[in-house]
Amino acid sequence: MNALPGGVVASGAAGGLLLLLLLLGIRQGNGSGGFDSQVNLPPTGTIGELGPCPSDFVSKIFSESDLTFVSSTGSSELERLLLRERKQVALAWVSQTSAFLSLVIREHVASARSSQNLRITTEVRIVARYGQLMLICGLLSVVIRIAGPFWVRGLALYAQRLCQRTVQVALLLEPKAASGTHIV
Amino acid sequence: MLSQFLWWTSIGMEVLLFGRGIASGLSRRFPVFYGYLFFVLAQEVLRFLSFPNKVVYGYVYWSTEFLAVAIGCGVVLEIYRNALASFPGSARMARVVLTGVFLLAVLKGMVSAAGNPEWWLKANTLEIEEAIRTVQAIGILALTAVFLFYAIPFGANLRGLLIGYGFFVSARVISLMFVAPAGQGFWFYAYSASYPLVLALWIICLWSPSEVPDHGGTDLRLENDYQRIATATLRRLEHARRYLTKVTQP
Repeated sequence: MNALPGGVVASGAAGGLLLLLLLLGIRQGNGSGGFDSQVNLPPTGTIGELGPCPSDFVSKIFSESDLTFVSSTGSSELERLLLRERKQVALAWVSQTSAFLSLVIREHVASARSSQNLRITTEVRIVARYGQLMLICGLLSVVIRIAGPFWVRGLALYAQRLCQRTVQVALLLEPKAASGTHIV
Repeated sequence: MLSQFLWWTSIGMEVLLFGRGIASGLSRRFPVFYGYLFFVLAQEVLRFLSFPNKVVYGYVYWSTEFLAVAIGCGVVLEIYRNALASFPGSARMARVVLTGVFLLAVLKGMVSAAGNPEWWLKANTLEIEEAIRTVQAIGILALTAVFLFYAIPFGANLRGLLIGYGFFVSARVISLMFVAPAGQGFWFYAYSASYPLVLALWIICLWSPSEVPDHGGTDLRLENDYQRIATATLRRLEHARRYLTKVTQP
């Protein structure tokens, strides 16, 4: 144990424990840790049923078509207004999505904690998926705040183009490599 | 002078807490915790009596210190048993997590011993206690994480017990790492003062028996259908993932 550099594990454990205990005190103090918090949960459903934003509109939030149209008018004030409004809508959408994810998990743990036949591997999968999605929401939120909603799609398109190009290059190289193997 | 004051204050608070536990009947609900408290009181008397003889005091101090660590592990198990009695699913998860922590600690100890076989011979009592207390802190950390994730409802008694004991263990780990064993500087007094704070929290939270929150009973429809619940959750998360990725689709 002593071989650890600077007692990183010990200080991490002590600090982490203090933090979690503080969180436990706050949550239980607010009464949000109890089962009562489940009473107001909506019935099991999908995000489309719960959210006020229809899924068809979601892609519009990040679409550049409106920005292109506004830019063509030449009004910089209108463009600034659109950017500000669209950023707020995008952030509201991300926040709504992460709230939905939290609801899903709260509903799940309310049932799973009393279950006699809980499976650890399934629980780990659920926690990992939840963590991954919350991380995506967090990243989206940061990107939207820093660069705006239109940049999100631009970045995705760039990544997709890059990926396609890589596949094309790989496909181009594959026959040569294969024929090279035959020659050898 | 200050350390004497803190010591006598702590003893007074321990007596009050113990007496109150007997009177309120909480000692029957948390027998290990009150047993631990009784042991701490007894060890203080023993240490006080052996104090004039430095050699005897050293033996008494370290043997009672390690016994206290062992009984402290029992307190953690008592918290686990009380908190998760009505939640078999979470109890199962906590068992797996705690076993994992214990196995990791054993594995780490074995690897360290293999890398430095003389550590066990050279390590002093402080280093050994630091290692054990760190494992204890990680165990409580993992248990608290399970409580938080599964939103386990606590009564004021159990919440105070867990927060107090967790704070005490954290303070001990930090003091073993950063506070010099000899000398009485600021940090020595800061650590010494943390124990009466923990006792004050316990006195407040364990003054009278609190109601154990009703978790609404187990929904019979869901009780033995974990796989269905888990599948539904995974499906909903998958739906959310598709919904999220929609924004990046051309």
